[in-house]
Amino acid sequence: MKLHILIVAALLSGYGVSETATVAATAGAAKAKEAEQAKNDAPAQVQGKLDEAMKQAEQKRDVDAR
Amino acid sequence: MARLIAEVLEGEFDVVLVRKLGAPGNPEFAIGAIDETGWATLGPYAAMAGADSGYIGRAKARELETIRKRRAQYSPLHPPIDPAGRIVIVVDDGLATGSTMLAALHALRQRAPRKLICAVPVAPPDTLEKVGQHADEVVCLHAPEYFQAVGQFYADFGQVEDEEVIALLSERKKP
Repeated sequence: MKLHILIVAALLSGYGVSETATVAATAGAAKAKEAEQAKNDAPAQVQGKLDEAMKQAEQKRDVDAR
Repeated sequence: MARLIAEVLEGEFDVVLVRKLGAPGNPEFAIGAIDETGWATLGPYAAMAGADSGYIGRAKARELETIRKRRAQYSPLHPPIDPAGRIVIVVDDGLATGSTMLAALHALRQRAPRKLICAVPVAPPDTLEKVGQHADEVVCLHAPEYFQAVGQFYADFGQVEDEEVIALLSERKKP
């Protein structure tokens, strides 16, 4: 019997169809801020990954802001 | 992530819309969250952040309006699936305070699912305990005591773009 399952993504409705570049940039900034916060206390072995994640967030923010 | 789980389990895929309630002067700092029914959960730090009842009321009204506009944009193309009587798995990229997950669980519980499951890859233990009181089952792959932020556990923590969500909803098929 096939399971009758519904999978739902919890979506912060901040990134709307007609959302402005300002809001998108703010969301990108939040990601960068979160990554920065994590980096402050993370073990050394994940620093490189965090650097990369921050770089991606910053690049995304720059693109969204244009 | 939810889309992939739906594919593996051969279930249907949908989204639940929630909004963070931002702190006074710092909208990125969540003092709580609100769901589509207007129900809101507030963190114990809301008052410390300077959010009085007047501020919270205005924030709730503003965010609820945003949710309703968003739903109005989605619905003509992608009508929401009725979760009544179904096993519902709510997926997020991780939990920190758990506010948005609580709001999502509340919104879905009001619509009488047969079983409500919260599934996340990572979350702090105390948040899982809190969320567990509002779900029939919680699945979490990693619950570290040392937890700063969800992004700490991702190599790529970029946001899911709206266009991607719309495309995924457009692709969905009944099992």
